[in-house]
Amino acid sequence: MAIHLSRERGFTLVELLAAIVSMVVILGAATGLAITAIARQKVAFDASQLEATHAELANAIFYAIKTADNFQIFNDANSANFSSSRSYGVGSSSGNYLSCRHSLNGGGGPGELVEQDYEFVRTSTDGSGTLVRTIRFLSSGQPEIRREFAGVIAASPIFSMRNGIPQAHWSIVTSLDRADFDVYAMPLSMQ
Amino acid sequence: MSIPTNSDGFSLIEVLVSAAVLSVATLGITSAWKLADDKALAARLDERSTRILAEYAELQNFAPRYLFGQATSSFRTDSETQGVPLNPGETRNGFLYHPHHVDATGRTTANALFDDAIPYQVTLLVDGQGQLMRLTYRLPYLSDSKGTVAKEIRLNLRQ
Repeated sequence: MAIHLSRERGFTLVELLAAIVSMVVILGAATGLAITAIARQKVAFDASQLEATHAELANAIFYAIKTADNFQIFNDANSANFSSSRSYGVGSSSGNYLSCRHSLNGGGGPGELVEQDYEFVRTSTDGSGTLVRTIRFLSSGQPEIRREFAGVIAASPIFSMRNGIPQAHWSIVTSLDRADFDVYAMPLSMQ
Repeated sequence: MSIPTNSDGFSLIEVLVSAAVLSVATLGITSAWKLADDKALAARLDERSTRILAEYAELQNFAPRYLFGQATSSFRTDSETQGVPLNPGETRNGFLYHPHHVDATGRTTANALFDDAIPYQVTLLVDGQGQLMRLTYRLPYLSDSKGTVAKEIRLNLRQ
């Protein structure tokens, strides 16, 4: 009995190779697209996150000034003049150091004197640096809270009393653009 | 006599259809990317415009009285008007977006240069209920009528 072998069943080697090459090309293209999409997402996410962080900083400075019982601007940390825990020494009309003090009354207790300091530390000659926020508990002596906000660009002093209004101006550079931050805040005690 | 067969390769129609399918898929992916970029930009502009309006409102509410009534020009730059409140009816201009400057070869410049894009206008209006601050800007990827965004804040001025 003769066995009939058909060459139409299955793939030839050439067909198999062509199919594998096609799949590799398509998978490569899809992977490239996915990598590009992820990279774009990361760029956009990093930019948004940096801007959101500095928006939070702007908000913190706004409320620090707004609720301050007392505040002072100094040229820098070296010239910061804390004559006593209740009052500041002579400050400056503009500078890179802002200190705000708040008295918190604890329900008839002794209360807490809280100091919020914002210092711009220049790390490069092109005006870029880091804004450092430090919260000190002057009465109770609790450990201070410190947070750094990197990526700040400031050509001139960040804090000033221009036109009699406490204000802060700085910029950040994200992977997409430059974002400017302007804070104007008048302490409630001065209004 | 042998009959020619088409089973040895793809027909022109098959190749054209597959090319069309691939083109549509590519178009869809790039459109989705552009849509995502546009939405991200719109969200960024929305957040910035809200922040700018809040800054102006604070300035307007609490600036010392001697700063009001100063002669102003709507063509002054941002730095010149920093910390100066608006007079009723006055419009102040600025830019919401400062993308990296791209040179003629299509590359982002190494030095920190930025362009000014997406202008905004802040106007102080007076109506029957008092003063109203309005900020307007236009989304670049939409037509004039659909792309204009206006935000308002009513001022709680000191008596």
